[in-house]
Amino acid sequence: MKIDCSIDGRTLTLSLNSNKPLSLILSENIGDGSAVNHCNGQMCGLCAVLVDGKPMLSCMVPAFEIRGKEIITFEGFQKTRGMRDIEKAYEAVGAAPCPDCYESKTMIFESLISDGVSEPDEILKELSIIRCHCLDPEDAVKIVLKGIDIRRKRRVRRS
Amino acid sequence: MYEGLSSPNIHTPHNMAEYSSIITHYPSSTLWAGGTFIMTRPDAYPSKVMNAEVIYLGEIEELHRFQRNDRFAEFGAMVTLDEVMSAGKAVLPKVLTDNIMEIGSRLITRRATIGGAICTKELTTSFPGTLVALDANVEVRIIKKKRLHSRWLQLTRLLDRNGTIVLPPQSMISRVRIAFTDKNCQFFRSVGALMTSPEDSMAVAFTASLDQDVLNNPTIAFTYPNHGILYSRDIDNVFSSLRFPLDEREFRSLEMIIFTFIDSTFQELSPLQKVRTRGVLRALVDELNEKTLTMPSQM
Amino acid sequence: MAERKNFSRYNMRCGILIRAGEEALHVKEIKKPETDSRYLFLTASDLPGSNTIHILDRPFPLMAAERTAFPREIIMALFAPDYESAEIMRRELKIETEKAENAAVETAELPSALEYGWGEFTPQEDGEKKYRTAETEFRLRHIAEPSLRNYTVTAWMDNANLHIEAPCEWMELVRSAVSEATGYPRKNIHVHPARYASKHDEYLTAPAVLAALAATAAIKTGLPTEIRDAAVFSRPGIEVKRSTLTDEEGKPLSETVSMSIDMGAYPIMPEEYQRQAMAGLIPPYPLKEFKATVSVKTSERYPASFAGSLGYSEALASTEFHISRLAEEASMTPYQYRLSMEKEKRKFTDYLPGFELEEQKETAAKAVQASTYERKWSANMFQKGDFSLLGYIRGIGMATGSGISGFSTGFSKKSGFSAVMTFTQKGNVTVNTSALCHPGIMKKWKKIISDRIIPGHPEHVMFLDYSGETADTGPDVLSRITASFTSQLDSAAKNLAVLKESEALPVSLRFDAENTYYPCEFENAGCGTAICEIMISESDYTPVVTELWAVLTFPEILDESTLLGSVKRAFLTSLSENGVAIPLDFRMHITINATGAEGPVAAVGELVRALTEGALANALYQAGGKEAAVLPISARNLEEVFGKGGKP
Repeated sequence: MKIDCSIDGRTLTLSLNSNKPLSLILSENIGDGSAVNHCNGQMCGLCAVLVDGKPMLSCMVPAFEIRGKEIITFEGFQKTRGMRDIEKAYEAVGAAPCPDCYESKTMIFESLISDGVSEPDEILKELSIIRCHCLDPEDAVKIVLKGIDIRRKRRVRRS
Repeated sequence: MYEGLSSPNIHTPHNMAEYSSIITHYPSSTLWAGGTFIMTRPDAYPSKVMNAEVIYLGEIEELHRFQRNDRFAEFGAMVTLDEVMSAGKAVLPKVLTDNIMEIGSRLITRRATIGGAICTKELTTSFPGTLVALDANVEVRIIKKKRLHSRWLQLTRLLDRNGTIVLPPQSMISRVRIAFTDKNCQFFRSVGALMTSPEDSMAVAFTASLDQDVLNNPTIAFTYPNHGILYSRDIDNVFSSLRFPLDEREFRSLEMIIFTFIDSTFQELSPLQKVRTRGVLRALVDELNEKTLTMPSQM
Repeated sequence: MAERKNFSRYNMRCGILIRAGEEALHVKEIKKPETDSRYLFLTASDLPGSNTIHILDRPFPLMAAERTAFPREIIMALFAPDYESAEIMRRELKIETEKAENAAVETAELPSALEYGWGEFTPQEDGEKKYRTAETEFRLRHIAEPSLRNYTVTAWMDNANLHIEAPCEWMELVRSAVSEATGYPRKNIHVHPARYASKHDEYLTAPAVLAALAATAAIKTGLPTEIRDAAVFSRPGIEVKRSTLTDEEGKPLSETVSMSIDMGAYPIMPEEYQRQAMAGLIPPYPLKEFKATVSVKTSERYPASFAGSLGYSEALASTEFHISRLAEEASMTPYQYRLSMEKEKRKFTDYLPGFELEEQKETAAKAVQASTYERKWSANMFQKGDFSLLGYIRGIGMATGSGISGFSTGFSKKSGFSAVMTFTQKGNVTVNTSALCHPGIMKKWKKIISDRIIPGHPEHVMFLDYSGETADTGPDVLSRITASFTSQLDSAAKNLAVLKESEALPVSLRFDAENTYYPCEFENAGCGTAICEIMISESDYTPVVTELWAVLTFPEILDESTLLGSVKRAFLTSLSENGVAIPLDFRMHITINATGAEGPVAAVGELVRALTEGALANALYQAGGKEAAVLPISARNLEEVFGKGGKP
């Protein structure tokens, strides 16, 4: 079936199987070298993307549901100012996710920072979807809090 | 795209009338709610079923409705678990909110729907067990003579002997009604990863009113994701007959009775599921004992 | 980099692997469905070259021929125009098998047991019972688990050249595997490294196997070919039996150790594994007599690879486990026991030099104080294996030790891993090395080299692309590339700075990729102590690590925040790989000190892994006894321990 959607700012018309998971669409149909993983139901959590601004595991989103949706993957997000904020937060805290889950955790951090989630339990629960234990829970909370702070300051400067 | 692999037809009804006409034409369609379960099954894609018909329920406005009055909350089947939490965290029964919280990340609860969580195939989630413990009612929409009929049923009535939820053919759950309860003892515990290692996992949902040292109207549901839900009025009656606090001997005897029921329903529980059932049961009794001993006036 | 893959996905072949199950099988017949030319099936007999590749002279099969030698062995590779088609075709394949009863496939000869020891102690018989014997058994279960992340290996032809793109820890191995399988000349095989994070060295051998299969398919179809698969993390099964004769006060007098390593169906570098393990087996306390044997065996298990360590960590963990048991025998806490038994300096052995233990003891003192270890250890002893009081049990364990770095001297002399640094006529520095996988560390290397030769111009330092002439710097394991190789580059740059003044340009310097050759097999590098606390609840039996304290000391620290990050990551990885659950409220308290002294750069991963495994085994032993301390642990294992009769 033909599906119109926007991926990383590009408006695309894709010819796809209607139930193909977005994770496979991103790694097989859209360009090359996508960092999105497809673990075949292992619940790895390494495929987070933003669909209409909300983080989702792309393996759970079938092709027919992306019709008319705006999808931001890590490849698209890393060129934005939002990414700079998160990189600064990583640097300030002195911790960053490992290369295996860097993309997915960064996307979830972005959603937490943009929603201003500061409750440690809520932050950790949101991140618990990723089964990669590379980040100290305390550091993960610090990254979000620092990210919120950095973003707020940037917005104040701009206004 | 492989030419031998046919792309499933996706039907997107916008109201129940459209749904009714589609399901009449394609009686063996797969109903698609949030997709969290279907999409996370190993080898979910490419689908093994050729020429599949899928009815995506996400566009039916009626199924997204949520209403509540002073007696109950009523959720459309496509209301997500996250929406349930934000709609009524303060008023909804604790056992329900605890269950949703236990699921974890909002990346899942934002997509998982009430209807989807009840009607999973092959594997039972912890959610229907909790609804059983809350004595929830569900509206079943069924096609009879090409017309869509509606029937409200207790969820327990949909449980078959094997503990699985069985809906009549060509039917769907469209609404779930949860009565606000004044039961002061609510307990939910889920142990193990229900989705990824169902053979080792289990969940227990329990509600009752503790009055002095007896339980009024207790309801307990045990969920074994790879087998089904164990709910029996007889177990509820056993709990009614107890006087708390229970000592070790009484606990052992309760444990024995419950395991007699479990063993007669599910013969192939794993040793870990049994051990975990025992452990959770002990945690429940400990909590009830503590409540009886420490806060009798507030019970 | 040379030209990277630049082709349409619509004009390539996608491959999937068909693997055996858990049982040993005889493959009787493979019934392939009728297909057109867009499909390709590869079995062991379809390879133009050999089905066996060599990893440091030891054979390793690409695919099972008639009988599978280990679980999940590749039986066939299937290539199709896209992954969906490949998957559908896989379902149409019919592979007839029967359970194999006969003995396992023969593998190459194993090295004989490695023995080491000193002294002799004869107990004096004077009628009184003066001696006690403490015996322990430390076991690690064999692990073979597919990682959650898939990776792809791509092969494509470009005139006479064959290109491979793969995440790989050892590029030369990929090239030699492709050459062996396809018969293609090595100089025409170009490897393009892809980015990877190899927490358990899962990209050491597997990408070479996939590359060989993808290359064969690329040659046969004439099209770019890709294989997608999940890498497998595999750790050998280990059994260490140790018996110590102590005096009445618990002071060790003589000790015998035997370590048996089950390396699965095809051992990789067994001789080096023995040496590394031996270094970890030698205890820090003085002994009049010590005898150790390290033997390797094969089994029908998944071939064990490096797993962040090559035996040193596991052996050191076993030593730490034993010390705690000796302490219990002597009715002391493990910390008190160490204080009373260990001397100021370690004995010089063929495997480790006789270094001072002061720093190590200091790390232990700090960690013990921060965690209130002594109090917790004593409190937990009352509740050992008994849930009845609280509904849960706790255990606390400590491990302390020093790290080592890279390969042994014995191996380094034979390996010939090297790199070449050249100062050109244009005033640039070129480095010919196969260690090209870490863009972050390469930036640092450029700075280090330019500081020595052309200060202020790191942009004039160039790392040559991988080609037929690339020097084999060896595998990226045991932190060799980030630790040892950094100091080798530095000293080579120092020498080249002198040479360029006296020799005609261009001037080249070939240097060894290993750190240096020591009088012992290894040099100690860094030390530390870890203490971890675990909790097992009666309601779910899941072993949960609640808190971890660690104090580590390193000679020189380049970047403290990066080091702290990698230490934390190594602890977390090691904890989760050994089966314990890490809860949301898990807390880590890590202190890192620098002595400022010059010395070999420590392999952080190996030390942290050893400390984690040692501390965890000790904590689990305290909570649930001997059987609970077998790593990796799971709720199922604990159910077996506790489930039968309640108490272990």
